[in-house]
Amino acid sequence: MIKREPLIWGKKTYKDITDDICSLVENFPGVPYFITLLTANGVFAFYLCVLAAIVLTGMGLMGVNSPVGWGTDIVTFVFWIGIGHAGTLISAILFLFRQKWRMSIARSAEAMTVFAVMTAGLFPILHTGRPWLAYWLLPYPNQRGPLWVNFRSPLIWDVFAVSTYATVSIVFWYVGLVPDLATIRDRAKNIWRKKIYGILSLGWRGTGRNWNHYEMVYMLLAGLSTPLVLSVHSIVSFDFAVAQLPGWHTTIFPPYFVAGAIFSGFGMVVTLMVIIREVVPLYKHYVTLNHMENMNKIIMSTGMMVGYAYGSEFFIAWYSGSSYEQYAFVNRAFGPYWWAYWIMVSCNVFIPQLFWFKKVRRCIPAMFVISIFVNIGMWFERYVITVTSLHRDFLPANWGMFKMTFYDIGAVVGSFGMFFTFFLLYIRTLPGISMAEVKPVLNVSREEGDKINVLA
Amino acid sequence: MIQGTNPIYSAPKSLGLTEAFKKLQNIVYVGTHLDETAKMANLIASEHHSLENWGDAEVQKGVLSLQQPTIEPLNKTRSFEDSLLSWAQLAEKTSGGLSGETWYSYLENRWKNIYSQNRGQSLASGDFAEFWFKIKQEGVFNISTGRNSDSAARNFNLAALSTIKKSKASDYEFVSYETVGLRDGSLANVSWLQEFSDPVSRISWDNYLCVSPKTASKENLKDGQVVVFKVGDTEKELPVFIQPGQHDNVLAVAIGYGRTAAGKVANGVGVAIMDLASTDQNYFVHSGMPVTIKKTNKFIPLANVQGHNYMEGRQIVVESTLEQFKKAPDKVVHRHKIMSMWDKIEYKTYKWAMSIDLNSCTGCGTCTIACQSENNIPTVGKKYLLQGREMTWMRIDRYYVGNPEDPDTVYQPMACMHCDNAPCETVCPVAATTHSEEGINEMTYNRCVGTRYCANNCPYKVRRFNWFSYTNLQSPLHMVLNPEVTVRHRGVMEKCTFCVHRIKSKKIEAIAQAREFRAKDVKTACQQSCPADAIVFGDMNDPESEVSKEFQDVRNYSLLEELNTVPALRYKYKVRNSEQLKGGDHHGHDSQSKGGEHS
Repeated sequence: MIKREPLIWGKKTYKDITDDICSLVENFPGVPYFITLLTANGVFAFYLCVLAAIVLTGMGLMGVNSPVGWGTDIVTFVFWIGIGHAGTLISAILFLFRQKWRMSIARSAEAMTVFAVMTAGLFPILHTGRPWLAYWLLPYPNQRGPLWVNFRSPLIWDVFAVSTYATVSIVFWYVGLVPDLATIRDRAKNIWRKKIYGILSLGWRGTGRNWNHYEMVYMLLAGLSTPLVLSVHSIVSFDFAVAQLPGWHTTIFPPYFVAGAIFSGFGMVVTLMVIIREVVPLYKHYVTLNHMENMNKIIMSTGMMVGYAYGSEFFIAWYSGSSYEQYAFVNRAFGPYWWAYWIMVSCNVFIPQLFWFKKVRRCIPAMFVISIFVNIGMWFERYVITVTSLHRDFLPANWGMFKMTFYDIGAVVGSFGMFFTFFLLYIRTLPGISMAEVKPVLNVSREEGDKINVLA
Repeated sequence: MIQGTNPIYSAPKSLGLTEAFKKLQNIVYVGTHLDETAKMANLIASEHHSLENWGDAEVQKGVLSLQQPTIEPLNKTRSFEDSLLSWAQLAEKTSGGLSGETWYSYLENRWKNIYSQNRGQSLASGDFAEFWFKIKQEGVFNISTGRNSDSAARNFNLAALSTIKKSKASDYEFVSYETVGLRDGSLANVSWLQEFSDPVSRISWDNYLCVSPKTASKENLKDGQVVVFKVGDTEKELPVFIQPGQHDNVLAVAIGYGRTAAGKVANGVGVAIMDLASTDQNYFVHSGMPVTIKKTNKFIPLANVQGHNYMEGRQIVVESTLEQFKKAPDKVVHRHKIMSMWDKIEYKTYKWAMSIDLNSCTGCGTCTIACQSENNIPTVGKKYLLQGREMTWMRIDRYYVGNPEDPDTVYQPMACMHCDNAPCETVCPVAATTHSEEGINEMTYNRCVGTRYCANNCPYKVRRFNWFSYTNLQSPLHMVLNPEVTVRHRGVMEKCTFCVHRIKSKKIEAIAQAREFRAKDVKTACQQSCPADAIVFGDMNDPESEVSKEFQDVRNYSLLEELNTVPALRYKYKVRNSEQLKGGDHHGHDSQSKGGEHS
């Protein structure tokens, strides 16, 4: 009889699991954590200053111009929204498919989703000329007529898609947290801790009825989130695909964007997990090399889907017979932005091919570097789509160039400060691995797991 | 005494005028600005601007014109003529017939003479009071006996041209020229003119050394590379601009730049060239001198709004030879078969449309300035032009056709096409850009949140975004604004409105006069200013209107017709009186047009 690889390594009892996971929340963090947090905070503060300067002075501070009306803000928005997708995929789709290996990474992947969507959500607001009026994009009864939004505009679909996504992700994440929050509450020795976690755990008692309801809600939410994995990035891709601009106007965009989003999302999960595993060695028992390998397999396969889309775009451009379309794609690969295109192709298609080798898939430094490349590559994918299509369109007299300014770079770098600030706060205030979900997947016979001690 | 001229700026240096001026005891300067010459003067009598002053002129023999002030003087100034009169009165206290006279009464007296000499003719049919009233209304008193070639009020000195000698001392000959925008540079402080993109080079805010592509490759020069050129004994530095079609042995530079005391806008823009002129037998020679150049490694970027010089085989500006036009005028434009997913819009009242004849358009750009002044369009300056932040609603695209050594040049005025199936309208999330019942694509500024999606989706790229706040004009500059047109806020999109305020005001006028509104009364600013009458505007619902007829013309075509935007601004293709087009056949994809410049 072939035994499955155990999902949790080390000689763990149920109590060990609780102790291990709660330790991060219950112990006061050390100096290195605060240094990291302050660094992230500093970048976040810098980000706020950059955004304030742009809002107070005007969009002209950034590189966007005529003809390149969308630039860094939209590129980075799509980038962050894409990052979020792995979280939903892990928490919802893998849950429905009963993929037990998802249990130990689901919590942090979902947290990543929530923070990535929050980071992303700021960009479309801030890229508008008058962000203080961005609420006009919401359809609500008003005293201006009433004046409604234009339901034909993909940007409106985007508002619905992203806000639904943010809501469902947060609810899903929070519902999953409830049993664990109750555990922390029950272990709390400090009155304030007890009160705060007590309120957050919504009166969880751990009764059979509680569990019954919890699991029902969790499954329903998983079912609700599943279409979102596909719909959100499809709709984000409509922002481009519905326009008639050569290079944007392609039907392949929805699946291509979804694959790219999962690809980049898993890239980010791997990056974060490698960091967490190094910083908190205890996590190596829960987020094992097998987990990492599984994610690397997904990265490689989605990377190839994205590569297929790149190839398909060129084929369709040739096959369509539209000279504008053909020019747009030749210009992408060999025009003035060739470097962006080839960074994209190298990072997204060529480099992940290394994951064909088992050694690379299980090598932490290698996967860390590759996952960073994936993140860079996916940022550039959005850059290539947005900028190279806009900078040379139908009438050659209008052609122009896009140059990033200090404020563009500030917005991109600063958004990482925002994301990491939230993520670092989360990792020490909420259980980073779902205790309630990990415990059921503990090997019952526990023979295999006993032999492996990664810490030794 | 100096009035109406600026010799310190414009005279050749070899004349030594600056030194000579320093020796003078008294220089009285009469003018509107504290310019280079005024700065040398010890007495300055600031005079009225011509819009604040009375005057008259004889444009052609027998065509007398009266100039009236259109505005109260903004500052405490006095007209030059009044100054002269009062100085004369001061000089000869005895009053030689000038006592008590003002410039206005002097002028009136002069027109009394004209009246009495021409009594009974056209405007002078009644008494003088009536004549004076009528002439103020009409502006012109025509008593000419018909037009003929030498009836100009003054003669042109043809002899001045023959004395220019061809230089042999160097490989290159220097040519200085006036640009269409700045001319001699006397109005250089007007930012509209500085930002006006040159019809051929399409560069603004600089002068530059134009060289031919062949010379550029021979001397290994790149666009924007600074060179030191020497004319006579004077060395100057300017960036190079590679100008297709220029003669290989000519190096050309525009005059009118390099002002030092014109004002905030013009000071320090470009390099003064007029002082390079030599004096030869009492003539100033501005061109034809030998010139030598020396490369430097510096680069100065030139603000060029033309992204690319060639059409890349796309059907943009359509041309035909005369022969082809005579044989099969309907075969010149490649018409696309179009299947539409849109319903045809029905226009119940009016359907505004514009037709531009590319045959008549010379690319002069008058329409762009007219539009700028009509619609309160800001200028942004060189730094922002380089970043692609131009604000013009009307622009003139220029393409070269054929070999860069000797290309043809074609022009295409571009403004909002007011498409029936407007790509901008569908994508605006807040419905800030919508279609009016009269076929105008309207921009609602106060609804716009500035997503710029509309601009991205516009295939003609005619939409302009307010990247910064351009509204805070300091007094008296705010007076330049047209009160009929909204000043746009930072962060909103704007574009050509088909001068919708003019349509509205004509409608209001019709109501006030209790008569029916006549569509043909409406003229857009660009149409009104076009010296070639290339622009026709009107109501398409009236089959008798000029624009309806233009749209029926065989030469009429829609730009990017295959996108099915159904533009309301259409073009009439250009017919060239030559045997062959330099770019070859139009819908064949010409291979020559690849070597253009990229910005």
